[in-house]
Amino acid sequence: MHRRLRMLSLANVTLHRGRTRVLDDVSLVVDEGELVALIGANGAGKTTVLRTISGILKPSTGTITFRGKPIQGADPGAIVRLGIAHCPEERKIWPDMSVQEHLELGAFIRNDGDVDADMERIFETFPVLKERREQLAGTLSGGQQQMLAIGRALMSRPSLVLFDEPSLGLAPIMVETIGTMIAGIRDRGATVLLVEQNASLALRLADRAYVLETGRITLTGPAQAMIENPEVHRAYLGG
Amino acid sequence: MSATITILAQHLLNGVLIGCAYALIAMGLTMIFGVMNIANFAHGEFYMLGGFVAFYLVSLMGLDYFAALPLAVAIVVALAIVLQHSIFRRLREAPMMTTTLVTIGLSILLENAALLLWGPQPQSIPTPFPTKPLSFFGVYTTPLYLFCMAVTAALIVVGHVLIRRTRMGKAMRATFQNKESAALVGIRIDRIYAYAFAFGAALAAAAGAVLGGFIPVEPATGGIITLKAFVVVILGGMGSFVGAIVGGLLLGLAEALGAGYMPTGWKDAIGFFAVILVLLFRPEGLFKRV
Amino acid sequence: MRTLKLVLAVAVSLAVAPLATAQETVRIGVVQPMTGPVAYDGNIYVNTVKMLVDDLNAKGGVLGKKIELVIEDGACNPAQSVNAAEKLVVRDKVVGLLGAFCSTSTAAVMEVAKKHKVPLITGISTAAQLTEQGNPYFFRAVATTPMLGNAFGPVLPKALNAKRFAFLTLNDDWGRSMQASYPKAIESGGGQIVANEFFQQSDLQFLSQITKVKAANPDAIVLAANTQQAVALSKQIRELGVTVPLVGEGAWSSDSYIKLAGPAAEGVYGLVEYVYTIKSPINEAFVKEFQAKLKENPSKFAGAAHNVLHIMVDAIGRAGTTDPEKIRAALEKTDYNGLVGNIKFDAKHQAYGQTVYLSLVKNGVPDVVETAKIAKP
Repeated sequence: MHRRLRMLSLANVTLHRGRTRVLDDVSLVVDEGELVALIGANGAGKTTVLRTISGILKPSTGTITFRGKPIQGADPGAIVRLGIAHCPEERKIWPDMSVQEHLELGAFIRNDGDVDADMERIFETFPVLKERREQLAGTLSGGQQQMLAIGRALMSRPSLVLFDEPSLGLAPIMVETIGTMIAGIRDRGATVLLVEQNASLALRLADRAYVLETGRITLTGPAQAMIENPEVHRAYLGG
Repeated sequence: MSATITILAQHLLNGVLIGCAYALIAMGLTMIFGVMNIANFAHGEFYMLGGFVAFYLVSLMGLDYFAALPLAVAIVVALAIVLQHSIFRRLREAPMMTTTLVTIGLSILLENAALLLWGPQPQSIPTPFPTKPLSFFGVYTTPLYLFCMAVTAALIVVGHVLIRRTRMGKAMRATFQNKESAALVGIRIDRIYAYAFAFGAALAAAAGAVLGGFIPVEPATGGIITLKAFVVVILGGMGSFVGAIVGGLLLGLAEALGAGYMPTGWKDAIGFFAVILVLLFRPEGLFKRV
Repeated sequence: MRTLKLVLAVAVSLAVAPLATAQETVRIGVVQPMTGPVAYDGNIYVNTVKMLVDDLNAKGGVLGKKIELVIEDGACNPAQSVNAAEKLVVRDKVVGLLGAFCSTSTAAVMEVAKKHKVPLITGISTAAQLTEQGNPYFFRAVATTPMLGNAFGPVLPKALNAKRFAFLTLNDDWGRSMQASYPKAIESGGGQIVANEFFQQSDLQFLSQITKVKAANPDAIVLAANTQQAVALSKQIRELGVTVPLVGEGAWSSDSYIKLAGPAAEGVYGLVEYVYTIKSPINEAFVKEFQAKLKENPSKFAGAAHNVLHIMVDAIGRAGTTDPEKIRAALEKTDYNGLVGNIKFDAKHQAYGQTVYLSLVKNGVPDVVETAKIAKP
């Protein structure tokens, strides 16, 4: 097998909230060009893993390296400037700002001249956002808000995108659209770490996957193998 | 014009003059509240300091009036930056109760510092404008009043445009609406805090420097200004810029017309009565945060 | 160690001093605000009595002894004023008290005077109810607002050449009592009341009230305000194009008002118990000394200090003893001629007979243009 470049790696990351250990010795790696899924039950700590990577939370112990450099403890502004975009849980759009303003701010860290061209590319992918570019984000439907959150994350031209529950609360047809979209991002050369409660969607899209249970990684392997694993099947695929 | 209409016009003019000042002060307060989640009880002290520093520059240092106004604002902003950097930056994660107590303490500190520096005497800033009133069909004003109205209105427009149109203004609004996703696109929250605090202080100081020409400023002035600004902000919606502008004008007009056509002892009660009504029927304020 | 001993020695000698000298001086206690909101005026009062006691002592003091002032800060705060008065009476054994500026503080100190049977004179507190309590140890050497109104009301229409009067006063005891007591007196002099408006202690601008008063089309506006609001009020009245005469109780003839208001103070009338331009030998001597020693013109608070100190010393002299009970009896028979003419006390210990002044600011100087006498209530 062709040896890929290591992009992100977490080694023995532990995180406490008060006295509770929320992440317990988590280690995982994401290689360049991969789409890696992190699945697990509600409250297992998936969101915490992403928030720790993007600098919102600081790990108690352990190291996080991006392209070989340690980044744990850096603030979110520095991390997004390294090329890691985080598309947060529940979309976290700015309800009283327009679609266009979201995309402009998505490119906040950039001062190159290609921002407008990139915005057009987002609009090509999500034509509905173009129609509503002056509309306030709070008035968009759930699916449109998710598209906007994805578009905002991509505007920073990331090399690694962290997705947190992009399918949450969406209609089934919209879930498919978003899934296709995420696969497309990987196909165009970006690396993706996808957190999902919808394990069947995640495993269908991913190359590899990790299972997180109460803050610990309990299983890892190629996505296909996971789908066939009876344990995973019973616990997360509802069969 | 008939006498009744002249008097109405005079009340409206008075209301707009004071309303513009209320709006300007409240914009700063609402910005600090919205971005930093701090109820700044020291806000009126920035107004007071703006007035006193302008007085000091014009009266005691003999500076030109029009040079002294922006310089006074700059001096107060420098102080605000120091305060933000040394105090509020450390309180980013502190609960509101803590920051509120800190701002109350700060207001007492600033008031007493002004008392030590300048004494308890009320001071008016000497202006180069002729004091002779102007009359338009029996409605009276002075060049100074018109200047105040023009400056406050212009600053409201400038402030509004800065917040709506500039990159930093958009970053502020984003921080305001969702801090976490603002941080995730690379907005440095520390810096936004510093900008918001300095900008809020600048608006209050500008109001104090301009109004100090006809409303004498004294160390205790800050408390009343803070109170009025909170009335406006609650009326307009905590953290809404449009609400601060509309609320400020509304309070100015309501006070002018209320005092004009009801017993004048009720003037202050009108603002508070409006706040109680708003809290009962629209607890989020007239406008949502924008 | 030597320093400590020295400090101890000084402290002991200070503590013993009052006892040692108790026989040799006549002690008068003063409770005035030297800190807090009215500290500026309180300090003027204190400096005035200090200056005057030095003069009296140079002329031999009273009862052949030197007068000794013991001064405590009451801060215009009732509780602090009571503590101060207790200290003066119990520790310092003063034979009489002067104080305490703010009416609420004076009301509190009155109880201390009554408890320890020591006479108290105020020259400043004007709340009407103070002399209505029948406290035998309390004397007021200043006219109340209704008394000023009764004295001036009838002469105002002619003095100001005005018929239609509008009121614009502070919305507190003082302002309301003014609007309750002046109108009748003004009407008796041929005037008429066309507006009654109030402003709050917290108001910084008065544009609405002024517009409303203006709409009533008055010939003169009657005001009650302290320095800060007086400055803004008179400026804003002129800025809204109102040119009629202004006449007020409060700060309107004080140096600080005239200086701060500048041109807006010109042509403003003051209704005052004392103004430094009174033409009389006793006042001219006082003003000359005051200007030399304290570097400003005496305000009405300095005038009040002059009155009450001399009334107290006069009573001690007539009593012929430092027994407070006898001094109290002598105070009741006061017939004192001072800065503002003759002062007597009525049965309720309210001063009457003194002259009050209508001043008019011209070129920065408050000239006396009219006088009236406070009638026996």
